[in-house]
Amino acid sequence: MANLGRCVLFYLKYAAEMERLYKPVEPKVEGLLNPDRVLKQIKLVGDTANREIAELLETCLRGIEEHFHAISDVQRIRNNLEKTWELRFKVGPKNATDRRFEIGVSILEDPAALIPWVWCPGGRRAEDEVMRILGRGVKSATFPGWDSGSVGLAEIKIPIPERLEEPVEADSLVGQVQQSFASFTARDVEAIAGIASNRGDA
Amino acid sequence: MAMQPRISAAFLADLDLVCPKADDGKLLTFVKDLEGAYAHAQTFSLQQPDISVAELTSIAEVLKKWRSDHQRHLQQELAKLPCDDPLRGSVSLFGTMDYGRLETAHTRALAWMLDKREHGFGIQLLEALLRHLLKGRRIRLIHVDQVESEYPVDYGPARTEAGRIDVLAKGRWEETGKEVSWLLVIEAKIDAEEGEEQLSQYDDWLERHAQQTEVLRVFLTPDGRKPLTGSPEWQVLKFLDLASVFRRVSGLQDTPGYHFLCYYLTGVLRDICRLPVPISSDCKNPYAAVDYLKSVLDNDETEDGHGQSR
Repeated sequence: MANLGRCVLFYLKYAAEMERLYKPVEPKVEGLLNPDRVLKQIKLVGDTANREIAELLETCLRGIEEHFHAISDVQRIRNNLEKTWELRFKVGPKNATDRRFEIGVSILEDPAALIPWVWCPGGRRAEDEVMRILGRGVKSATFPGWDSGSVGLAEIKIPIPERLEEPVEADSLVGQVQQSFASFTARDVEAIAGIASNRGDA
Repeated sequence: MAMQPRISAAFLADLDLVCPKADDGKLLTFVKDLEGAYAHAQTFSLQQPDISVAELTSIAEVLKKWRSDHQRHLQQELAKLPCDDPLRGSVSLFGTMDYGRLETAHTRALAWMLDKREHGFGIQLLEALLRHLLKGRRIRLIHVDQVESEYPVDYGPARTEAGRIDVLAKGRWEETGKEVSWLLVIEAKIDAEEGEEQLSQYDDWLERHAQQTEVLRVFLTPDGRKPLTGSPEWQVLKFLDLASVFRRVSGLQDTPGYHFLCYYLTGVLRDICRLPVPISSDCKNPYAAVDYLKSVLDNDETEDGHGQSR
């Protein structure tokens, strides 16, 4: 995957309009010119963008899986990437598969960005612990709608060009996503899984 | 016409490796099924019309025009708001501490504001809330005897643990010449779900402790969802409606708690209702902002009978 699809870029550039016209079962078209024609086109753009997003996340998947296979017991959580725009894995130490937390990659619409993340049960206290262990990250409160216990590892901005025909390289975004997980060690996995198992004691 | 898909030799060799009992016929059936599914997917994929840059650009032009129309409309609506309106505020009371969606912070602050305390609001906010909940009723002379947050309730001998009602207020009012005792209970949920039979347990407690009292049960949430537990008497209330009720209360500008109230309401709108506050005409989602402003201003006119905001 060399470049991001044009429809994804369009979707992210006009996120507020897509939210109003593509997502709801009954789109609000008040004041829109030629609504029937526009809605048909929006449906096509939205469906294509979903497929392009799924392709982008699938490209991120390989490197993450490879890295975590080497240091942990990792299992992909199967979900519909076209619908959720989110890649998820369950991770735990190799020797203790009952203690688990989650890692993943989500796509934010506003601002347009890829967010690699870690989620650990235990709410806000778990967030503090994860950030202490990794020495980096931002809390869930930064991202509207995120569950507490989530820590964003980076905010990888997706550049939205002024003209849609200008290409946006996908490989560098994928590289940055993989990079944000690359410093994870088996010891980090062990420590974060420890938060998950100790949360009742806090 | 769609291309006939071919299964590669490498795939078949690998499949033979992981599934060595190929000679029983199952593998051949599987491969045929796989070919069928692949062909279907391929045909479906080829049927999807492509969208050109020219088409995308033309939709973009329509959307830009639509957006600028909304921005202009928003500007007109914003002009109707006073400059210290919470919708224009940029400071969220609890957002400053990362507690923007913390239930206990909100319910304690709510109880404090409803009570007659140092903020100087008197019982105006509580009165406004009661009148909103009792729309159409002719109640007067409202007295407040008690307002508490996290009020402990004993579930009875069958249960060891106790519960806590987020906000409890009680007092008296007069209706058709008679004095009536009232009790208001508010259970708020922001991100969490109800506890097991939580509201039913409160119902049981109210049954035992609030006889001959008019009880108002309120389930306060971001989206006005119905509770999963409890009796049908629980009224749903959105945080957005609570904010609308409070922002309609007039004459608070000179009270010591006025700015607290403004920051609280800005926080409710931004952190709980997820509105693009402070609202400005160039905000990223002018559509949501116009919808909200319309609902607030229409509501003001409906409930007050005039268009004055706080």
